[in-house]
Amino acid sequence: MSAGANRPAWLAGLGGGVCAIAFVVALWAAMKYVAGLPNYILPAPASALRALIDGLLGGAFWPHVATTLGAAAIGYGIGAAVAIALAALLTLSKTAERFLYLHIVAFQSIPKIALAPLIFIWAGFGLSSSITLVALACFYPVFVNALIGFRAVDANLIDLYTAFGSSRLRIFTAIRLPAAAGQILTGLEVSVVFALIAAVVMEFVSSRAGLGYLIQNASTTLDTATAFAVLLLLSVAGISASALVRAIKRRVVFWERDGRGGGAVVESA
Amino acid sequence: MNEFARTGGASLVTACVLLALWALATGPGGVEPFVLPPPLAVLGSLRQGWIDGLLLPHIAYTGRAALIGLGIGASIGIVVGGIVSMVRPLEYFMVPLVSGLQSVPKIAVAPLIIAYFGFGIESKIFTVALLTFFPLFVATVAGLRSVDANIVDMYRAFSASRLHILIHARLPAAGNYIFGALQIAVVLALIGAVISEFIASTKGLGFVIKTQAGELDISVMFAAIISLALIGALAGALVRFVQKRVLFWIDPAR
Repeated sequence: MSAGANRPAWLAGLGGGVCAIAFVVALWAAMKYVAGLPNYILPAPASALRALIDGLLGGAFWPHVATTLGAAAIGYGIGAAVAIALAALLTLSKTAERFLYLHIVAFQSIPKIALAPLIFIWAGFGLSSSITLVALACFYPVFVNALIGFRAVDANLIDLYTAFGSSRLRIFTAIRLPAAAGQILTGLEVSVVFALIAAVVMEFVSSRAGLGYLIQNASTTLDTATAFAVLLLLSVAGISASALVRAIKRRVVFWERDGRGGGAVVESA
Repeated sequence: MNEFARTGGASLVTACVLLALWALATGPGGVEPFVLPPPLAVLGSLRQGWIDGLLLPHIAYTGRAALIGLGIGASIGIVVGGIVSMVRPLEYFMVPLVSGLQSVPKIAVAPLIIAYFGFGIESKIFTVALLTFFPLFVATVAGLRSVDANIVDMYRAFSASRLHILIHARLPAAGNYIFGALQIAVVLALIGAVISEFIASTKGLGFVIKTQAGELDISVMFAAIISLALIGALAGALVRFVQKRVLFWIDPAR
């Protein structure tokens, strides 16, 4: 706002971010040392950090990181691909829209995360159940945003292409896809958290590995240092993955300077 | 009207095909009921759950946890959002903090919350409050900021106090944002309660869904999931209804 009018925006963002982290650490330290919470409730910031470093350097965390992030990434890819393809199909074919649209919307009212035990029955222990749940959770935000993007096209432009005899496919690739790219990437950005949430919840329900399993295990043994270390890890994963998608978005739709434009349609847990 | 009939007819066809496939797959010699129960069994479980009342105590438990948690989380979110939007220095680091936390899977703290508060309803309420705080906070800050600057200037010119401006100019402007966030928060509240029940509980829809996983016939699990979806849709519709009543001046066609 007014404070950073002449300075570059990223500097103001960085300053705010540093202040935010300082605030969290200060709050944490105050709860620990002023309010005097015991270790089994709140670990000292230093001991959580030590658990994090030990886990990473000692290698105990890495298989779990690979399990969770691997399932999240694969499921995210599948869910997003299916979502974009379906949105494209519904845009291209009026018939497909008539037959499917209402059902996809109705499907949205089921909280996908609550399907975890059912997916567990169908897919069993391990990666495939996590991947399935992640794909289901990522589907809707991408689908909605892709559909909105494909439809929010300048009608005159389409008339022009039609007048020159372009096929629907040609119109789709030449007009609709570039016009929708920004909105699709917004959906992809929202879905990043959904992917992590779904992977972690699936691990709460079923798994014998992964960061969700690690948190649950550490919580039941009141090993809060490990639990907080894993929470830190998950936070870093979520924030950097979102930042990555945002960076890709800036590169791909470089013409949409208003970074926040459009606005996401779905909010996460 | 014609388009409406066509879409309705086509959707009906899809529904019938899906149902037929489901019935066929679960028919004699088909999939076992501990993998996929037949549609009629699910209907039977829904009847038992709602009319004979087997699911009702669980629905009440999850609903209570979600409602109380939502009340706490939403009101704290609105109040903190209001304070932050009025104090510039706070806004400077609270907004990046919360927008950073939006990319963090907050539900991951659910096991810790259960370790703190036990298996009872307190841990569910706390989880729900934590999840629902964020959308309301973000919406309140954004909404209070969205006010027409000219209106605020006019209030200032007539030397209205900051509180007066907050109540009469900023809050009405934020109404649409806050109700939008409430619609999201209602669903988050149910999800939060259910996931907390997945981890540890002796009651609630999440408990039913989780514990049915080992049964020979999982139609009760389906009934619980369908009930959850229905409650979510109803709660969302209720929020929209209240929104229309409270924000009567906003054109719903927009």
